[in-house]
Amino acid sequence: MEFFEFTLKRCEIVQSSKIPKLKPWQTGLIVGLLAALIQIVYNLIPQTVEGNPSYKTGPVAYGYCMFCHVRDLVNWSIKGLVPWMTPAPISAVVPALTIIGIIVGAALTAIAAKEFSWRRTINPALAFIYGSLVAFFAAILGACPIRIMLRLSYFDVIGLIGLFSVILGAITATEFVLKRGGGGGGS
Amino acid sequence: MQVYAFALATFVVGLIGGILFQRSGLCTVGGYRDFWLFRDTHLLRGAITFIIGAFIGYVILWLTKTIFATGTFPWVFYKGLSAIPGTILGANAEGLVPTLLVAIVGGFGVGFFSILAGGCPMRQFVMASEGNKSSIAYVLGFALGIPITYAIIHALLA
Repeated sequence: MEFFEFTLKRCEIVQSSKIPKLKPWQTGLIVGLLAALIQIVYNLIPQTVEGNPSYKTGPVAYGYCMFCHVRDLVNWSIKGLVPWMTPAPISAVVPALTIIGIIVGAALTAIAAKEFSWRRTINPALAFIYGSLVAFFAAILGACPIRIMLRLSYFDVIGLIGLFSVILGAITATEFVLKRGGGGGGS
Repeated sequence: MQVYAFALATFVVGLIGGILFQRSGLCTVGGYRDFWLFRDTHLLRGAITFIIGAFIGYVILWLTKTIFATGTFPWVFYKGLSAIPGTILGANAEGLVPTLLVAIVGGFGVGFFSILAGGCPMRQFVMASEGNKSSIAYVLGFALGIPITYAIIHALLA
């Protein structure tokens, strides 16, 4: 399978780098803790931002969200162009820069570890369409796969149902598309 | 002043997350896929410990009582069942059936198309930073898709 070969190829690159590799469970634990604790800035700072008097507690379970933070950033960048976009109120003043941080951090680390290389996994035009479709469904859900786990940690029943739906969708695609040779990419 | 502190704090958290995500190759949807295909728990463990870590963090915030207004955690015991506030449908998603429908349809679509694209949105952003052209196209589609989605849904609801 295409993505399996890609994963193997990646492992070879990893072994040649000097910067230590982390296990996913270690990253998950640290980043999960961080995602919950960063809620402090969402809850303390907005109360003092001018022009948002009704905004008391900030969006909950908002530490990492690929969809919400991109939406806030896009909305802030194209201000006024799509007036019916509904970002988190704090982001009308200043967007969360988590996405920029992730891109900068991951790019610098990849360069330092000599893992940066121009390559492609699937047809970019297809990837563009998949990206739009994931954004569409993430907009309906109101979360990305990361935030749905944050919602579950927040003891949200809808978070649990949403996570089960994400897993069900992933299994369906794996069973009916990946196993029949479609899709691809590697992670 | 607080505005800059907010921007800086979120940027630093993103930076730490980006470094750790890049070093570990964590992918949530990929974890479900690998477990289903190979019974491989390498990535799945990352997703599970993310939930555990976030839960520990929320309990810490809850016990210190400085962050949450009364009754915001554990959320389910106070607020009951309602759609995630970030949903595009907003007030249209009120009521039991629309709430469940939004979660199920949205979640299924996210999982399905994330597998086709080869990873969850977070992983795609990290791979785009590593120079994967497919992921860069994915990120562009993701960023452009959001305002287009809002325009489409607004036109449908109007």
